[in-house]
Formats: sequence, structure tokens, C-alpha cells
Amino acid sequence: MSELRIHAIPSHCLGSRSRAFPAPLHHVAAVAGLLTIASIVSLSLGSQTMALFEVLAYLARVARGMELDTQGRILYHLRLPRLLLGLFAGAGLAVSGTAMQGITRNPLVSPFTLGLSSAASFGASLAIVFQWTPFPGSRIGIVFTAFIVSLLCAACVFLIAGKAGLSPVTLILTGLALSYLFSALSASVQFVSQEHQLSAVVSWTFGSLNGAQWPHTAVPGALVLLCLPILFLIVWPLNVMYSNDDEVAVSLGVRPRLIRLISALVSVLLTSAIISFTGVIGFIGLVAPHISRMIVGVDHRYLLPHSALTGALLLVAGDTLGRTVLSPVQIPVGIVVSFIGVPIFVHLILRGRTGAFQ
Amino acid sequence: MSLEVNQLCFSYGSTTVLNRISFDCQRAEVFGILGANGAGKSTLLKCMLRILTATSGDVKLDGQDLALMPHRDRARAMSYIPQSLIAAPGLSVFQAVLLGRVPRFRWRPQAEDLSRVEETLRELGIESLSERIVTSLSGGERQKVLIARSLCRDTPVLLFDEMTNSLDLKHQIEILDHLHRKTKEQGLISVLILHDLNLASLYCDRVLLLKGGRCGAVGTPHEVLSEQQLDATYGIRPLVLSHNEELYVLPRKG
Repeated sequence: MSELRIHAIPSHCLGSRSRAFPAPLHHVAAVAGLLTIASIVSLSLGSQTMALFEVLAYLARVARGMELDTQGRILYHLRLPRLLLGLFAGAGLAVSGTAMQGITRNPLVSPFTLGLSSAASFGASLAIVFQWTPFPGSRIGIVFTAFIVSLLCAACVFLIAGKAGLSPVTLILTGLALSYLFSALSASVQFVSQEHQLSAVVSWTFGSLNGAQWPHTAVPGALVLLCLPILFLIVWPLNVMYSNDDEVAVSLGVRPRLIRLISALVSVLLTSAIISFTGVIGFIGLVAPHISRMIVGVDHRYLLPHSALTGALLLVAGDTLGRTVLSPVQIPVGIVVSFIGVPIFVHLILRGRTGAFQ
Repeated sequence: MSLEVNQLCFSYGSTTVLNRISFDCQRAEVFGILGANGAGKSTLLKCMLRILTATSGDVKLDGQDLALMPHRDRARAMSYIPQSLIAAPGLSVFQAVLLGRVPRFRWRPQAEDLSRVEETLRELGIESLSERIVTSLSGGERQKVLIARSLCRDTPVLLFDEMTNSLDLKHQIEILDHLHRKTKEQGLISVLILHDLNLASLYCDRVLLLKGGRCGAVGTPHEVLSEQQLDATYGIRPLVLSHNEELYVLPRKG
């Protein structure tokens, strides 16, 4: 496993090129520190605000399996699963976006480019409006149908784009076409729905961590922990593909179609699983990779962990703000992350750190 | 060491692009591929690299069929600079050149890879650019970066598709001098697609004239670059002069 750790280029090998490799691990550590602080703050804030040391004390009690009082149970049963779902969802969406932008060499691509969000919305609409799900009337029923329909959409994209060579352009165009198709299907279902059903569908599409429970964290968490190592195994092929066309990649010993297929499958699995639980949180998968690329550069060894942490940070911070600023009203996290992420993104652009995609 | 191309054929659908191309290159040889636009020169290189799969025929390096080699081994045997390049966005020159060493390491570049990159940048006189972002370079500098990436791969065979395209005359001569010297000193095989017939006659030991996907002629520049052959290949009749045992091809008004 030691081979899989993230290694910095040894300083004695860098000579005068320290600026060519701008100590990316420091940036990864910095964003990890920010995420830790944001997570603890997130746990402390809510209808019953706790002091930070109280949060740490409760976490220690949880770790030791000790009994919890009412406040402790709120932390354990409500805030902790919500935080974990936010961490996994943010990290998963950001990593998917990074991989998709890398293999398509396109800065406008996000995990939703393959039509997954529209398909998941259609699945959720079917479950909410027609109860077309094995578990009618339950949240898990919506999750199930949304997940299956988005996987079906991805399968269609791979089948169609695969016949045309699985190039970046065919992937993007096929995804775009299916995205429009599923949007139209969703609109059709919403058109015949009743008012309360329409409200539920629209609310689902906002993206939210409301009602997160421990079982909801299992699938996104397992997939993030499974898929991240897979992407780490192909960081060098991703580096090659990001900066070269397929022909040069082949001459460098990389198999572009295979790498594109693996990366896209990983992105599809992660994204479908996450948005089935959280609804459509669109901004993170597009912008977190850009923010990270501007900070740590384009080497996927650092870019992947940094964007995972940045995505998680954006989502946790957005969720914390969304449920506290207008409390007791909870603003969906999908809306809040845009308000947080856009100023950061614009700030980085204005500072001239646009090297990632010129 | 030898590189053999045997009866190589390639078609795009029903259009035949390469028709039974055969030639061989020996150790320490600079071999030029010449021909008009659309003659199939780039396709020939891509087939040799297995970027495109030949319809029939084979390419052998030291008797070993390249089609049967694993991807990684093939990448360690032959390096390639394409005709057209996309800029490597956000990548520094050093990082871009380091990507050439990817077939030689698995998880992280070793000290040897880094020093090899440094050495190549120095040899090509672009070490001062190593921290610059590739997209901020001029066309000629970018071309040199690509050439550096190819040279630092330490492959016995180098395939260059119009490598001196964006370079001025001084840089063309510099690069070709460097490549010629390395080929002779290290016993490499360099296969170059060139449009400039004078450069081809100066630097290539032998050349292949491609005409409509067929092998027009193979031989030394003196044997191949005759007015008749050039007329048959390009449809023009330039003036071919020999001076101090060197051949010069001068265009004439149509």
C-alpha cells in the first residue's frame, strides 16, 4: 500500500524548480484542516447550539461507546449522519467532476454532463408522482428509482458513445442529448402531477441533506471509499490524457478508451448514488475541480485529494449556513453552495490563477 | 538493431491510404519519409506506432512484431511527436516533459526520471523555460518542449511527424543537428516526416518517397531526389543541384 501514498517530488530532485511543483501537499493539508474545523462547527450549530469542546467531548463518548444524553443523541443521530453524508457527497461529486474534466479535457464538463441529474430527477419524479418504486411512499423508494434510472441513462450513453469510439466529444454530446430527453420526460411527469407531488419533486431537485440518517451514509460512503483508490491507480494515465490527445496518449503507453471508460464508470456510480440520496447538487462537481486546479495545479496525484476535500468543504459549509442562517427555515444546500462557491471561484480567477484551463 | 516495415496496408473504409509499404531502417540511421500532402505519411507513422491498426502487414523491431508487444513495452521502444499538438493547459514545461517518462515509472517519478528531464532540457537549451506554463510559450518553444519530451524517453526508435514545422531556420538546424548527433552517437533509429527536401537531403541517410499511399522510391537522397522522381511525386519539376556532394532542391515558378 505504501506505493499508493501521495508522494511529493523529493526536494533534492527539484533544484531550482520548487515553483514548478508548488508544494501541493501543503495545500492539501490546509484544506483538510479547514474541513476539520468546518465539520466541528457544523456539528456544534443547530437548534441546540453546543460549544466546540462539548462536541469534542460527545464525539469522544461516541468513540468509547458510552451512553449519551439528549443533546448527545441529537448530535449522534441527526448531525453526525448529516455531516458524513455531506462529506461523502461533496468529496464524491468533486472527484467525479475532476475525473470527467480530465478525460474529456473540457472545463465545462461536470458529473452531470452524462445526463445523470436529469435522469435521476426523472426517476425521483416517477417514484413521487406514480409511486413507481419497489418501496412506495418512502425516501428509500425515491432513492432506488432515481439511482436505477440514472444508471440506465449512463448505460445508454456508454452504448451510444461506445459505438462512436468513446471519444470526449461523443461522450459529451450523447450525454447532452440524453439530458434533454430526461428533462423532457421529467417535465411531462410533473405536468400531470398534483400540486403536492410537484412541490415534492421540485424540492428534491434543489438538493438537500435534510433527513439524513445513518443508513443513508452507507452507500455513498462505501462508494467514495471504493472509487477513490481506483482513480488513484490511474493518476498518471489521467495526467497524460489531460494534456495530450488520444494519439499521443497511446504513444505514451496509455490506453485512452480504457482509462476513459474506468473514469466515467467511477463517476457515474459515485454521482448516481450520491444524488439519489441528496437530490441534485450541481455546482460542486463543476467548480471544486477548478478551484483545486487553480491551487495545486494539474497533477492528479494532488488534484484528486484536494478537490475531494474542497468539494466536501463546500458542501459542509453550505449545509451549515443553509440550516442556520434563516433558522428554523432550512435553505437547500444546492442553493447555498452556489452562493459560497461563486465568490471563491471569481476571486481565484481575478487573482490570475487561470492556468488550469486556458 | 533494425526496424522493418513489411507490406503494410491501411484503409479508411473503402479508401486505401497505404498500399503494401515496405522498408527497413538500421541502427544509427536517420530515415526520411517524404511525399505530397495526403500521400499517407502520417498514417504510416501512426500504423507503425499502432495508434491505427494496419489492415495487413507488420512492423518488427529486432524481429519482434510490435503488434504483439504490450502497450507499455511498445511505448518504451518508440517515441512519437505528432503533426498537430494540443497545448498542455496548466502544465509547466518540466511537468510536460516529465510525462514522457510515464512508460518508465509506475507510481511516482524516480530521481533518474527527474534528472533525465533536466538533462534533456539543458541539451535543447530550454532549461530556463522549465518553470514556464506551456500555454505561455511561443509555437517554436512548444515544439521544442515536445521534442524534449520525446528525447527524454530514451527509446531506441524516434518517430517525428513534421517536427520542425513551427521552428525558424536556426532552430530547425539546431534541432536536426542535435537529433542527427544523438542518432549516430547512441545508435538510435530516427524516422522523420519532412516537407523540406533540402533538410531531408542534408540530414537523412535514406529517404522513402510516398506517392498516393504507395512506395515511390527508397534510397539515399542522391538516388531518390531526382527531378523525374520529384515530378512524379509532387507534380512539379524543381531544380536539383549537387554542390560539394550535397544536394539542393530549388523550386521553380510554375
